[in-house]
Amino acid sequence: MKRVELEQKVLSENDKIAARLRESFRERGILCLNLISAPGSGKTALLESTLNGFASHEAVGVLTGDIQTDSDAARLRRYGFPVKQITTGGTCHLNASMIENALREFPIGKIELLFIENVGNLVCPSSYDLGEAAKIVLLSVTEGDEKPLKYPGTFFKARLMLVTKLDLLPHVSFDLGRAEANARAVNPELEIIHLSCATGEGLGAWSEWIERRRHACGNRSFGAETLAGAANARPTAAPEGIDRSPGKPAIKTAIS
Amino acid sequence: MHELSIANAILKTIEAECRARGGLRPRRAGLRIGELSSVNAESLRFALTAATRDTPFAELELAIESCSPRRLCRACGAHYVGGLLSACPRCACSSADLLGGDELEITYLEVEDETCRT
Ligand SMILES: Nc1nc2c(ncn2[C@@H]2O[C@H](COP(=O)(O)OP(=O)(O)OP(=O)(O)O)[C@@H](O)[C@H]2O)c(=O)[nH]1
Ligand SMILES: [Mg+2]
Ligand SMILES: [Zn+2]
Repeated sequence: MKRVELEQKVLSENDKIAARLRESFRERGILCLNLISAPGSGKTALLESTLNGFASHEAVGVLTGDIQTDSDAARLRRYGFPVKQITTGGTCHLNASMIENALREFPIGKIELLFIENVGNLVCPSSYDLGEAAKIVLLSVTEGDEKPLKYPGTFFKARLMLVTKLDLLPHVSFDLGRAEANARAVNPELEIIHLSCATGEGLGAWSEWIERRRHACGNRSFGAETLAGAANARPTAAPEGIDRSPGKPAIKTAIS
Repeated sequence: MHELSIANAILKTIEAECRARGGLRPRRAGLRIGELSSVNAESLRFALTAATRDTPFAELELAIESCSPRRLCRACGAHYVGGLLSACPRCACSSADLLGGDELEITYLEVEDETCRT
């Protein structure tokens, strides 16, 4: 018997593809956001509200992953932006190769902001880099405020936590302060926004967050310092009212 | 589910390495699994057994080494061993970078001396 030293990362292939994707997003000035949550926390609902806020000329696209069915894509296509369903056929997460393949049949040249809705799962998706600029974790108030402690990996890797379904807060024993404390115990730098797609509360803060990130990544005259500044800027934790007047998109273009 | 895709990724890597080295026949693979990798060693063993059944790797043994999270305090620079919820033992700051503990690596292969092409 002979011993061969390998020291090979099992996911090195995924990391390689993700690095390739990240580089190509950077070159094209695309902001890619990876939405992760337990099943049913409201990823598709949030994307529906978000797409609904964009003017039709906006360069937005969505890749949405599910184990089966393309019902999420069908929900999202109604807003007129390019949407592609990735059905994983049993796999509990998206990987970089699925993204690369999906982008082959996607008008990526016309996209500045790409949302990826990951498969509903609070554990596995965080192990797979998709080349995104940021992972965003959604935690709905119906799930319980202890989730960041139970699934620390995802909260550790996320840059932003969205506490969703805020309208249901009166009906459940979810403690916003405790959820934040738990999340920040895992990740002290985590940014946090509370929102509800049912009432529109907090969607303004979410739009502003996206806008800041777009500004930081789309405009290449921005230096590293500004990038870091944008990353560190904290949205106010205080829930905001809906700031969407008819005909005016809630999410404005940062780059014209 | 997750362990099955990890098992397949491991097999793919081992296969490629063996091929690249002229058709090695692996008997034993060393794996390093970090406690924060979201991979359960027992489930992984099970998934690998399922994935290698009726393949040339059916007899492959696994030597799994687990490793604890290692962190670097952002406030005082201390190195310490602790999970994502732990604070720095020196300054109590809970903001720390992760230096290790989320590994998922194939560390080595033990192969039969005689090679053959499959
Ligand atoms: N009351 C309330 N319900 C919401 C809100 N957001 C989503 N929901 C409901 O929650 C359920 C799940 O929402 P989805 O958007 O499908 O969740 P998802 O995270 O995309 O689910 P998967 O893709 O299956 O993981 C749906 O019945 C939504 O209508 C909200 O802000 N308030
Ligand atoms: Mg969905
Ligand atoms: Zn310290």
